[in-house]
Amino acid sequence: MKKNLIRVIACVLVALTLLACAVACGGGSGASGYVFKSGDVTVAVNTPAEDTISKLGTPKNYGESPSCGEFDGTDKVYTYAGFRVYTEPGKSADVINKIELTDDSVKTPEGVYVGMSAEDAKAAMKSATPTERGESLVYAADGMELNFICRDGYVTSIQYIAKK
Amino acid sequence: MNRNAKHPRLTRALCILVAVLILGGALAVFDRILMPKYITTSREGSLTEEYYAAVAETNHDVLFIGDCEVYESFVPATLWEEYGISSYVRGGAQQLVWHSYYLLEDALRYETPKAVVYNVLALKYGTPQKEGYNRLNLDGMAWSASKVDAIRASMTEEESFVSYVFPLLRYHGRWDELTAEDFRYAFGGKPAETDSGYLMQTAVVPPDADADQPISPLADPTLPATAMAYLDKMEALCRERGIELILIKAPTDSWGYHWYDEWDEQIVDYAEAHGLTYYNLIPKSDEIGLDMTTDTYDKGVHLNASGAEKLSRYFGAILQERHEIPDRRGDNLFATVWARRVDSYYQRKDDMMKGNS
Repeated sequence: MKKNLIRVIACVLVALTLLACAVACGGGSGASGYVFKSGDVTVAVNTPAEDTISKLGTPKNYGESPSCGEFDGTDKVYTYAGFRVYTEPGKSADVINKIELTDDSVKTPEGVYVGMSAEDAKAAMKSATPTERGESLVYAADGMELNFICRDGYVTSIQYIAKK
Repeated sequence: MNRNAKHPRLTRALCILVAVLILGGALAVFDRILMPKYITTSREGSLTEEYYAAVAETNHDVLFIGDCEVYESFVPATLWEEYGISSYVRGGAQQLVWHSYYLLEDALRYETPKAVVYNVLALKYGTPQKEGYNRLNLDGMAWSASKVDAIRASMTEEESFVSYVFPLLRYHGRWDELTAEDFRYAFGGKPAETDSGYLMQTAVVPPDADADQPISPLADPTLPATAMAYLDKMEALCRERGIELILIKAPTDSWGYHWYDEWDEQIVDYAEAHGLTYYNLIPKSDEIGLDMTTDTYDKGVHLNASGAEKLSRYFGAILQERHEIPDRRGDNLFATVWARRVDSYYQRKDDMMKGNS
């Protein structure tokens, strides 16, 4: 009787440990959804910033914005030729929360660039179906959105945004 | 035969009861010790809690609610000194609009101010953001139906309601971070970290070259429907209670917390549709007398005490002249409480300025 009880308790403890591990280890940090590529470097929202920023090299410009409250660290923006990378403090390190393509010197892996017509941007995204917000086109995927902000029928900004 | 043997069931029940009480007491003690005290670090965590002692002392004619743009921008001591306005800042770090609504609902259990001033920046958020900010805003809130509703509205997907009821579930991991202040203030006696809800910062750190980052265009300029629904609730609550709701946008406007024209237009329209007054103070910076080489502690994101005092002098005049907020300096009850609060404000300012030098 006693042995059975010990076995049951042991099983429960193992199950709880596995559950705790599953919870703690969940939410992988790999890139998912749409990503941007600068040369050989993949830049993706919801991924740790340090390695990507290091691979992208020295930014042309850099800015910091302290958070609303002392405990939460600093939001950062790194400006490179044709695009900017925004980060925010994550649980253990900075995480990329936005990538913005600012001119036509760069394009998305699907071939969309700033200055392209909205119709051509839609065609470049092939079978993916956007949600239309005003003039802008929004492609949602895995905790992020790829936004083509359009004015007068043309893409004026491309933003990869992490969604909470 | 002894008495216990006669009543074995009673003895057993008593033993269980005593064991439960001892266990419950021990957990309650651990709970109090492990809860963050928000004194040396994250002083923003004291903001919500300190209101209750203040309102037990005196009522306030003006309540400021909102995020860091209220608790770093408005100095009730200055409003009292200059205009005799009795006010309190019920702000919080990244206080989202549902936090604001329920904190207001909570405050109205204790007092009915003449005006509520709400800073609109947080309306840009339509979903809960971070657990840490929920804790800073809600842990210090007294238990009531408002707190229950506030927790339900605020929780991120990773949070559970029970961890707010039993904070030990959330903070048990702090056991290796405990300091002397966790024990000293486990059962009360914490010093006030704010001056009537104003969280003082006296450092001077002007913006540098990186302050002018380009502003990204908005993918979706519409303020989230969830946020606007809470503004509706706030407006209805104030109207029902005969309180004037005044909307403001604090004068700070950095790249990290940029206030877009598209948002401003929506608030202008909202105010007009609901008969509210809205002050966007960003274009009034010169009129207020703000000088970002002296009036900010973090490169222009927030005002320091110098900037907040200037803004309070400017806005106090508006409150009194346009919104008929009374001068209470002739009332002994108010005057006694505020004399002490003003002294405390200057004492803290002196101490912090010495610390900076």
